[in-house]
Formats: sequence, structure tokens, C-alpha cells
Amino acid sequence: MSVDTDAPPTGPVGRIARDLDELRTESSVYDDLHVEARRVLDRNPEPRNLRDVAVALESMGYTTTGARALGFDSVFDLAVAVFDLAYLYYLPRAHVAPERRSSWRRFADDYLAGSWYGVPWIMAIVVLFVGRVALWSSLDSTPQVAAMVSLAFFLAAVLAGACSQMLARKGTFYFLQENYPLVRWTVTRFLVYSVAIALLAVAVTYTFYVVPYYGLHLGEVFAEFAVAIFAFLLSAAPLYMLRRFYTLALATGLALVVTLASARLFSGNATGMRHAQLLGLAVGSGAMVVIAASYLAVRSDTGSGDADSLTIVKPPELRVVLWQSAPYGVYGFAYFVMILVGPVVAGLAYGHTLGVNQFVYPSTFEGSFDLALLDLVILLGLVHASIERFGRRLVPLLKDQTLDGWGLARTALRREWAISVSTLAVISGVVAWALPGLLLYVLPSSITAAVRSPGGLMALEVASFGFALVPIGMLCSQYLFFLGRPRAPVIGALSGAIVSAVTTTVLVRNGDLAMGAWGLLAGTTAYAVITGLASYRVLAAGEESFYASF
Amino acid sequence: MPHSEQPDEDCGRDGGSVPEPPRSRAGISPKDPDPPERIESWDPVDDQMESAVRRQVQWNWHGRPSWGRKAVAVFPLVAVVLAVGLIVHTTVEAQGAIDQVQSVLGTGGATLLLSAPPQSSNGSSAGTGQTSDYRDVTFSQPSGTNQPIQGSTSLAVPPYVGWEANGSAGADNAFAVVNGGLLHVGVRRPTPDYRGWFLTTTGATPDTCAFQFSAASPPPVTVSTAGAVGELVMAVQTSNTVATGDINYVVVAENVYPGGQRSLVAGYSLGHLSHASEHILKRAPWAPGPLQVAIETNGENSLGVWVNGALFFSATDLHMGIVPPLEPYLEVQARQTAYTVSFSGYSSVCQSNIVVSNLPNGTVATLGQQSIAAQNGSAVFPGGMASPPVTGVLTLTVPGTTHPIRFDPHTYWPGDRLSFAPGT
Repeated sequence: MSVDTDAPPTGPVGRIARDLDELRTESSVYDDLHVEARRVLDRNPEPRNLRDVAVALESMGYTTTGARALGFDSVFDLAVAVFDLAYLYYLPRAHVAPERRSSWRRFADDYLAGSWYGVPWIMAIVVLFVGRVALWSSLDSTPQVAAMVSLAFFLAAVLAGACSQMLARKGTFYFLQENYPLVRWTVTRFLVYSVAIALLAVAVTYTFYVVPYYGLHLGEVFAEFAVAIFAFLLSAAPLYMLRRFYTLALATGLALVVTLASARLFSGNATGMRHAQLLGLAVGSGAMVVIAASYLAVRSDTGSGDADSLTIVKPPELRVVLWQSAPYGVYGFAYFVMILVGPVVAGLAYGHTLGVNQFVYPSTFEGSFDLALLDLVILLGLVHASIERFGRRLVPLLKDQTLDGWGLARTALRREWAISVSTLAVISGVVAWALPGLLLYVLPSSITAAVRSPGGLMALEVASFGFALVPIGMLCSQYLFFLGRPRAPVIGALSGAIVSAVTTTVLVRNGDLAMGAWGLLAGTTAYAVITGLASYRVLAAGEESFYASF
Repeated sequence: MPHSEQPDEDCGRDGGSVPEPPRSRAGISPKDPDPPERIESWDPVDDQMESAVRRQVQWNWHGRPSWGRKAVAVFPLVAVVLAVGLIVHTTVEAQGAIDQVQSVLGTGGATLLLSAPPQSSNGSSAGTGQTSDYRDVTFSQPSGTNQPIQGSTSLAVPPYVGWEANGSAGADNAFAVVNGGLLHVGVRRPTPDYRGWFLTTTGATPDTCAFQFSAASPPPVTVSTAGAVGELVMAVQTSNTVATGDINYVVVAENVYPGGQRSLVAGYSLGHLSHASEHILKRAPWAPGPLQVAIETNGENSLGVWVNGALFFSATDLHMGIVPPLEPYLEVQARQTAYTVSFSGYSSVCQSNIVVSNLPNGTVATLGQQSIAAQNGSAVFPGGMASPPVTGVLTLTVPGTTHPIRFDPHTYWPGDRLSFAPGT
């Protein structure tokens, strides 16, 4: 992107001016200096010294030749003249006194903000058990339809996960710069490409797996739900990017109401396949609400503002942007594969035990596995609060260090890592240990029926520890993303996904599906260990890592 | 697409090597000949402008698109077209449903799952069937038009995978069609001698399994011709017929005569290519009614026939010469009359008992008159491979719940392995 065009005037080298007073006699040069003073302030609103002005001039394209065209020996000489004029256009910024809040209060606020991530899912679970329909889940679905919805959700989640991560990375990059035209540019293009890739993936799965193995009717249910769920998940991505957690919760709540009403309206008396198809329409209706909320949020947050005073915007090369954000897409894809592949493998093994060569919805395993997911609702807020705290402390920490004091900074960063990760690990362990018993105590027995099936309690307990490790890996990945080091998180997530899939496959091959929960634990352990070691190593390098990220 | 919107003619053609002339924030062109105007045109109010006032953004696109840029730009369109093409093509080509898993729905969203024979999504249903393909066949899906099988005189009966129709009556004078939950096999027009039509499997079943047939009561013969006869035939034949030409088989048949007389026959036949010699082992007068037949044989010396749950014939000293593995034949035979019989189910039963697994400890399962407490997560209803299927309501009383779970009426065959999936 270019903000104005910055090349200096060119022309024959004339008489060399000596000082500003002398330049006042040459009005054309003097006027040019006024223009350049404004442009310097545009780049650096508060130049503190001559070097700041020289840097700004050089960034505008000035070289010795350009400076001589205005009658100066060098850029530094030009900077002296420009600096003298800059005060005329300097607008002191309104000083905003930082809000005084205790660190604990701020941490609590961050925790609550991060916890909004999980609110839509809690609402969905509550509505599911009250209304028997919530988003894409229905307690009245046949096992065949449940298998289709489950496969559709897996595909939609891994695709939307990849797209959301890429969008979040690039969109946030421009959003924090308040470069709103490029935020919209990024959001639009990533959404278009995501939808295209998702449609292709759905079509390929529909053609080469679902229809040959399940038939046309179930295939249509799969395609319908895959598109609707993907639209729902992807449309939430801009809201995550803009950190509009409350909007997301509100939109999801409204989507739940719309889904419930549509399901009653469309498929009240329908049964079987017809019921499923009409339910898919209801899911699509709910997704429309989130799409609308997302559109309005993007429009209101990036549709106007100071940055739109930019008159010329040169967009980056799309393929370069896609390539640069590809690691984040791989990370998002692998992350969702890691946590969702267990039920898919268990479903295939379940089909094998039933004597069929297809995925069969493993409701008992899912019943335990999905309850353990509630770990994340409690722990995601901690991840958010920890990374916010890290962001607030890092810059002041490095800024205040003298050149001979980097050792202290590195020690502080190592301590920061150790405190945050160990705190999260301890709390995760406690949550993982306490949650199964708490859920069995609090929830009605009808909801926990799967847990009381053979192996159900073991699956819940193991999966609970498996999911409890996810926030640790997530926090360590955030450290690395913060410092522009996506490789280790990608390796960690990919390793987690592969370990999870392979371990689950090996353990459930004899038909004991409950053992599949160990696969999740193995995968998330690999994920947490790899990202943990990598993030410690990067943070231990202190200022080198920080400045290398620019 | 980035390259289609307002391309900047001044930008990028030279690769950006020539610096662009300076332009001010206020949009003043550097080519403006009067610098003071530039200064005056700058209004500090611009910097204090209300954020609600939106300014126009002018996009400065890249220069002439390269092939790489074109490929990236056109990708979404290509992907969407390809996706739509795949979906439309698959939708047009495929049909129906493939229920490889049967589910018995219960109260509170609970289900019982068990495998079901595969069904094809298109017209081709021939192929090498597996024994598991012939378990619990209920003819619940209506069949499509019979399709010729390449290199064979038999006809495929879609969507039933691993089944084929053939017989001496010929395709012009016979049919095998599934509708209303029944397989109808019939001879259309009377013939002077015995002619038949059958549905058999393309894959074989081991002789260690039982062959269980269920049929509706054969209809009366409506013609008064003295020699007319209609037969409902349930046969088990060697699977080597195609290779050796031998047509050696065990047969259980209900014969229906014009006067309303009926008889049930058990025996075996030996022959090569045609005109097998029939050995009647037992013949008994019979009354109209649904027929449930189980046949257990090793093809050589052992034969057991159970009809409606009762032993009809048993011997272990035969010399039948029927080389296993074996294939079931669901067949009609007729002479001097058109005749159609209807089958309601077939199962190759290779295990005894009915087992319901994945039950919480302490669950009591009730089926028919039997109540079984689950042990190690499973309730086992005892029975032999030749035991007749049980049609009825299965209930589960799960500890900690107030209401027992009742499942829809269903036919449970010996050897069924059902997996319980709790609801809410």
C-alpha cells in the first residue's frame, strides 16, 4: 500500500542554499518545504529530533539528489529546514490517561472477554436439550442423518478453521493499523476464496465418498448441512477478528431462536429424511443471522474513520498474502483435525464392528467426548487473559531495558512464560479432574446416559484431560504467533492431528470405542509439548525474537 | 477481482522504477504549477474531520496481470464451477438410499444399530456378494427395473447388491420385483411343463450357516386345469453350478393345487445342467399361512429343516453330493398356471443368539417372553441358528431412569448383534 506518492522532486542541481532565512527569498522552494513538513508529520506525527525527520524524508524517497534539487547538500540539511517548519503544522495529540485498573481486575476483565468465545456453544447446548434442535444438532435425527451431520460438521469445521486463522492473521494485521480499506479488502478476498475452496471440498466428498457409500438422499443431507454449517462458522470469523465477542454471542443467540423457530415451522410434522432436509434449511436460516451480524460489524468497524482519509490504496499481491498466511491456515486446519478426528475414527471403527464399511455415528462415544469439550469453555478465557497480559507487558519490558540489560529482560520473559504456562497447566489439570464428577452430579441422568454406558466414564475422564491440554498448546502458539513464528505451532498442530488420528485408530481397531479418548490425549500432549518447548525457546531469546518479528 | 477495478494507467507499467511525483494528503497533484495553492488547499480541518465523514478510497491496482495473478484471480470461479458440476453430475447419476446400517428407534431418542445389507446407489447391483450382505434382508426398499448383467443371462435387481434373477421361465415370462416390503417372484403365463424363476445370491454362504427364509402364504391356484400346480420353493444349491454345471440342491417347497390342496415337501435334487432327479425325503399335507423355513446342511450327509420353529425333517445319513459353499434360491415354480409367490425376508444366519451390547450395567432387556439382565455391557437372548426370528418390541430398563426404553416393533433374527445408543 502507498499513502500518497513519496518521491522527491527532481531537477537540475542549482545553487546550494545555506539556511532557512536564505531560502525565504526563494518562494517556490520555501513552499515546497511547507508541503514536505506536512508530509513528514503525516508519517511521524511527533518527530522528536532531526534524525526522525531525516528518516521520514528518506522514507519519502529523498536522496542527496532530491535534496540538492531543493538547494540542500544532503538529506540531513534538508531535514534541518523541514524540522524548523514542522512546528507550524504540529497538532498535539490529546493525551488519554490510561485507565487505572488493578492487574487482577484487568486480568478478570480479559478472562471474561475471552470466555465469550464459549458462550455460543453453551447456549447451543442449553437450547438443544430444551428445544431438541440447536444450530446443526437435533436429538430427533436418525442415526443415519446424525452420521451425515457429523461428517458435514467435521468437514465444515476444519475448512472454516483454516480460513478463520488466515483471515484473523491478515485482517487483524490491517485492523490494528486502522487500515480499514485493506481490512475490507482482506475480508472480502479471504471469504471468496474460502467459500470457493469449501464448495469444492464439499463437492468432492459428496461425489467420491458420501453418495457412493450412503446414497443420494443422505448425500443431499450431507451437502446441505456442510454448506450451512460452513457458512455459519465462517461468518463468525470476522466477528472473532474484530473481537466483537458480545456481537457474536448476540448473533448466535438470535441464530438459535431462528433455527428453533424455522425447525418448528419447516419440519414440525416431517419425519426421517424430510425432517433432516428441512432442518438443514433451518440451520441455513440461522446462519443468515450470523452472516448479517458479521457484515454489519465489518461495515461499522471498518467502513469509516480517519484512515479512510487515505485517498490512494495500493493493495498487496493477493497470492503473496495467501502464501504468507498459508501457515496459519494449515494450523487452523490441523488444530480442528486434532480435536475432532477422534469421533470420526471411532465412527469408522463403529461401522466396522457393525459389519459395514462406512462411518456410523458413535453416539455413546460422542456423548462422553463432547461433554469433555466443556473444559474449553472454562479455560479459553485464561488463554485470552494470559496473552493480553503478555502483550501489555512485553513492549514496556523491552523498551525500558538498557543495552547491557537484556539478560534481565530475557529472565523476565522466561519467568512470564513459566508463570503463565504453569498456572494454566495447574488450573487445566484441576478442571480436567473435577469436571467429569461435576457434570455427572449437576446434569440430569438423561443427558449423561452415554457416560453410564460401558467405558463411557473412562472416555469422559481421559477426554477431559485431553481437552485440558489444548489451552496450553493454544497459549504457547499465541506466544509464537505474537512474535511472527508460525512454524512451530504448525508442526505442533500437525503432529497433534497425526498422533491423535493414528493413536485413536490403533486403540479402537478392536471395537472398544471408549479407548479412542486416549488418542485425543496423545495428540494434544504432542501439540502442547511441541508448542511449549518452541515458545519457551523463542521467549528465552528475548529481544532477538521480538525485534526479529518486525 | 483486483485487476478489473479501475486500473491505474500511470502505475506499474515501468515496474515502478521511476519515482512517482509527490502528492499531498489533500489530493493535490504535484503537477499543479502553483505551489502556494497546494499549501492553501491543505485545510487543518481535514485532520479534525468527523470520523463519520467517509472519504472516497481510490484503489491503485497492480499493473498488467501476469499468468500467476490471472490463475489466482480465476481460481474461485473455476472452483465453484467445478463444484457445481460435480454435485449436479453425481446427483443425476445416483439414486435412492443405501442403508448399510439398520436402526430401530426407541423412546427418548435411543436407537439400536445393526448392519444391514448394502444397496447400490445406481443401477448396477451385481457383483461378488459377501455372506454379511445376505443377513437380515427385509426387502424394505422397492426395486428398480431389472438390469442385464454383462456376460451373464441373469438380471440384476437394483438396489439389492449381490442378488440376481434367472430361471427356466425366461425373462419374458417371469419377473422378480420388490414392493410393499415383499419380494414377488412370478411366472406370468401358463406353461405345459414346470417352469420357474428365482432370485439367488451372487456370493456364497458357508455350510456352517443356516439359511432362513420367510414367505407370505402362497396364493391358491385359480385355474381348474387338472395338472396345474404352483410352488413356493426355498432351495439351497451348490455355488459351483456356474463352473461345473451341477444343479445339486436341497429344496423345501409348498405345493398348491387347483382344488386347494397343499403339501409341504423336503428333499434334494441332483442333476447336471438340467432335469435334476428329485429325491423326496418328506411330504406332508399343509394348511395356508405364512411360512418360515430354516435349512441347515453340510451338503453331504446332514440335513435339518425347521418350519415355523418346529423341526420338520432331520437326517445325518444322506448322500446328497452338494458341494459347499452354498447359495439360497428364493423361487417360484409353476405348471399350467400363472403363479406368483412372495417372500418377506431372508437371512444367512452364521451365529446363534441375539446380543444387545453397549448396555449400562444392570440394564434388563426384554424381548418377547424373555427378560435378560445385561452382563459386561451385553444382554444375550439364547437361541440356535435355526431358531425363528422374533418380531416384537424390545424394551430396556436402564438403572437410574424412571421409564423403560421401548423400541419400535422389529424382526430380530438369530445372530443379530445390536448396539445400543442412548438418547436423552
